[in-house]
Amino acid sequence: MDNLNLHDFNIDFGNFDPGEISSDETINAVLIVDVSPSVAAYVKDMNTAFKDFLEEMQKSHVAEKLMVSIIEFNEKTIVRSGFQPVSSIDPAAILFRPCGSGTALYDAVLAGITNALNYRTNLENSGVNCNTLIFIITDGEDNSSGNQAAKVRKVLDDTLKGEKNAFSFESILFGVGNDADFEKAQKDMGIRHLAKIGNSGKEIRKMIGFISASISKSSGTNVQVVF
Amino acid sequence: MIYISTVSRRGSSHADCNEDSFYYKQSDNVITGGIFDGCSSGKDSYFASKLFANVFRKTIDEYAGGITMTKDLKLITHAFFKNLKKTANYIGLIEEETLSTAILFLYETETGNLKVKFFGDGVAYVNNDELKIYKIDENNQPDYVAYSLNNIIETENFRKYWDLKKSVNITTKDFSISSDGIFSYKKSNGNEDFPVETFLAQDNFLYKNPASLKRKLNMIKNKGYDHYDDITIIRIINE
Repeated sequence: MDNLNLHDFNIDFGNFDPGEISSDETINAVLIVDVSPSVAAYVKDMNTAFKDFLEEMQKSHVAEKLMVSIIEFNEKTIVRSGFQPVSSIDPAAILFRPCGSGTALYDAVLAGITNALNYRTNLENSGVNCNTLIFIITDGEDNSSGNQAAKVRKVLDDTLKGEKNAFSFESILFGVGNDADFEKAQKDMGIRHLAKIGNSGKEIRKMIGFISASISKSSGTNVQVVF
Repeated sequence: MIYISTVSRRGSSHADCNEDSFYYKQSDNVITGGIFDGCSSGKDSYFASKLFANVFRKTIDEYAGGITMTKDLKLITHAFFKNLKKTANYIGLIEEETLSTAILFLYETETGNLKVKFFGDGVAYVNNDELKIYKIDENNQPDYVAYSLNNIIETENFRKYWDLKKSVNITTKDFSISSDGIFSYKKSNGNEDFPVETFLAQDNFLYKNPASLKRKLNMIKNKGYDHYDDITIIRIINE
C-alpha cells in the first residue's frame, strides 16, 4: 500500500498501490463530508443516497477507472478511505454518523486536496493520467480548523496554474441548508464551484446525482462538472 | 507465468482514426497474434486493418484446440488469406479498401519457440541477453497482401509468396511485436534523448501489469515525445 502520512495531520490515507492500477487513466474522486452534529437533520437521506451512488458507480462505464477517497470531519478530520477502486468499497459499510462538536472545514479540505495532489503526482509519474474531482459537503461554517482558508486557496491556486491541471482538476462545495455563508467559504478557500441545496431528501438525492453525473462525464480528457 | 501487455494508439498525424489494429489469442500451449497497419493512402484504412484483425480472429477460432506449434503459422496464414478473400468478395470490397500490412506471430509457451512472419513494415524485438531488433522497412511502400490476394489463395502460389516474405525464428522468453509507428517518435520539447525503443521493448517497468505499455506511452509523452504515426505493440514475457 502507498501510505501517505501527512505531517500536519498525522493521517494515514492508505491509498491503493499505483503499481496495481491496471488502467492508464483514472478518475480520482474525493468526498469530504461534514459529520458535525447539525447534519443529523439530513444524514439518513444522505446515507441512502450515498449507498445508491456507490452501487451505481460500481456498475457504471467508469467503474474500472474510478478511485474514491472518503474523508469525514467534525472538529477533527477522519479518513474513512484513501483512494481505493470503487469496486472494492462496500456501499453498506459507508455510513455517516453525526458526532463531535465542531466543524474543521478548512483542515479537512486541505487534507483531502493535499492527498489528492500527492496521489495524482504518484500516478502521473508512473504513466496514469488522472482527472481529479473534489466534492465537499457541509452545512456550516468553519469553527475548529488549525489551518486558515487561505492555505487551502494557495494550494488550489498553485495547482491550477499548470495548464494541464486547469482542465483535469475540479472542486465543488455543496452548501446544505441556509445557516452559513457558503459563498464566503468558497471564495476564501478558492473552491471553483458552489452549489447550495436544501436538506430535504429530494435535494440530497439531487446533490448526489450531480456528483455521479460529474464523475461519469469526466472519463476522457477533461473533467466536467454537471449541474 | 505469461504476462501480456498491449497498446494501440492513434498518431498525431491522423486526425480522426487509429489505422492500426491487433488481435491475439492465448490457448493452452500457444499464443497466436497479429498486428495490422492500414495504408493511409488507401480507402478507409482504419477499416482495412480492423477487417484483417477480425478475419484473423475468425481464422484462429476455426483452429481452436488445433494450433500447437510454430509450423502451424503457415497453415493459419493460408487460411487467413482465404478467409480475407472470401470476406472481401462477400461485402464487395475493392482493393483500396483492403490495404493493410500484417505481422503475424505464433509463440509456443512451453518451449519458448517464436515464429514471426512479416507481410509489410513492422518490427520484432527479442529480449534475450541483449535486445535484438528485426525491422522490416519497405520505405512505406509495402507489398500489401491485397495486391496478391487473388493469386495466393492457390496453394503453390501461396507457398512461393510465403517463402519470399521475411520471418524470425527464435527461442525467447521476452519479445515484442510492433507496427512501424514505433519509429515515428519525435521530441516536441525537452533536451534529453530518451531511448524509446528500449524502454518499451526491454525495460521491465510494471511488466506484470497488463496496462504496462499504455502507461509507458503516457510516461514517454510526459517526457516531451510524441509519435506521429499510429503505434501498436504486443509484448509477451514468459516467466
